[in-house]
Amino acid sequence: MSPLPRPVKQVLVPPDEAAVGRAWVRLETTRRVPTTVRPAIAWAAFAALAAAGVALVVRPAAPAPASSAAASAVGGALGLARAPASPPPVGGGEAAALVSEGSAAAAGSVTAPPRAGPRVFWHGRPTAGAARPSLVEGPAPAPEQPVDEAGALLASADDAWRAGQTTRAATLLAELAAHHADDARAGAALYLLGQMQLDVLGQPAEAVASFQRALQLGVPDDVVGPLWTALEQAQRSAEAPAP
Amino acid sequence: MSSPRQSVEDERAPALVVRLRPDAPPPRLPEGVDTAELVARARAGERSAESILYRRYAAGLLEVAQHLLRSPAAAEDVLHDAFLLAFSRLAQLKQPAQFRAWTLAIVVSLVRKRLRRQRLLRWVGLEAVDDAPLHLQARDGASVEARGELAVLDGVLRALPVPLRLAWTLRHVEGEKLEAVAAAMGKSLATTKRYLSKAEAHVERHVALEESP
Repeated sequence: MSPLPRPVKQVLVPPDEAAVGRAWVRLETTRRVPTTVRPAIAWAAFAALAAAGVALVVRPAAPAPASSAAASAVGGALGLARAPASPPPVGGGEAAALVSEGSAAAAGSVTAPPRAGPRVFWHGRPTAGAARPSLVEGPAPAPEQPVDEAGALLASADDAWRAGQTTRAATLLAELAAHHADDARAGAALYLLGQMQLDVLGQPAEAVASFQRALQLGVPDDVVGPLWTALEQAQRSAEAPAP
Repeated sequence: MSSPRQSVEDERAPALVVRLRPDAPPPRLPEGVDTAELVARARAGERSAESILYRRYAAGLLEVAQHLLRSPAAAEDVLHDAFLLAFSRLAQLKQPAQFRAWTLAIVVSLVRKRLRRQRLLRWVGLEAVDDAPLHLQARDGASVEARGELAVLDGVLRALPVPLRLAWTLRHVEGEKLEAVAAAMGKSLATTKRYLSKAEAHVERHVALEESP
């Protein structure tokens, strides 16, 4: 019988790297929501459910407001708008107002809600000769596609880099970082800018600034390690006396 | 013939594309940045420093949790919870260089909670998740004898009270130093020695281990 080695983990499988990665992704996801927000959301949901439950229980016992003359009188005295008795005519002659000004004299019974049908919008009394807007809701206009300016800058920087135009590439990357700092690629762009400043342009002090800014903005996980190494290298170069 | 600058650029030309590719292979971590500095930077809010701390210590701590809990899924949960706690309470860490030991203590504390819950589940008749006993965690090349010994060891450890089991596992499975075991358990050195002595007497009656160096 062969004894087990010390420590015993020598004969056990090492941990799964994928599990380490999964836990990190979960960690990042969890930390995006502040801990104070999570209980607040839970309480809000609980309160909404409780209110819905109470409303469901209380509603059948509540008196019908339509027959309450006092309520109508108060509403009228306050000048509250009332819903129309029927939907306004669509098209044809002069469009009628959807709401009528309330008054104590006009205060009567509360009207029933409008019938279900196409949604109608009141755009105000049209002026003579002006084109009338459609009263019936049409299809929603297609949302404008956002322009990926950061992506375009990155592509341009890449083209310039490949063409040997280092200064132009550096300028474009700096512009990306300056104007699109909230873009996920800004940190990586600054890392590349720092590399150019350090290795090609001979500007270690500027490279240090770029790397530090990249650390602040955040970079993809696979760039974190080289970024630290490059920062240390740039700092050493910047601190070294000029030849 | 190209100029030296041009040749440098040629070598680096693919960098823009490669560096921004999400599936690029992970590089090695920088060895030069020490833990205390990383902790200081993480306290200042640098996410990248947290990322490096995580990548430096997570695998080892996952291994510990897996050996203590015998469940990869539960160990992954513990790892997540431990780093969540660690990063949120980083200001409480008195010795930044001891980040690993501090996080290990958090892991052990979370493991104890899970084991208590498992015991409760068993008590009410629900089987707790415990799907990877030690012999199923053996390396591919492990001999049949070693697997057999691991199976016996697993059974012996299950029979031990939780503090003794944790202390023994940390000391003899993970190879932690005595002081590190005491710190992770949150016990004094004397108490830890007592735990270990009891556990060792029990384990060595059933399982053969190499002599201590």
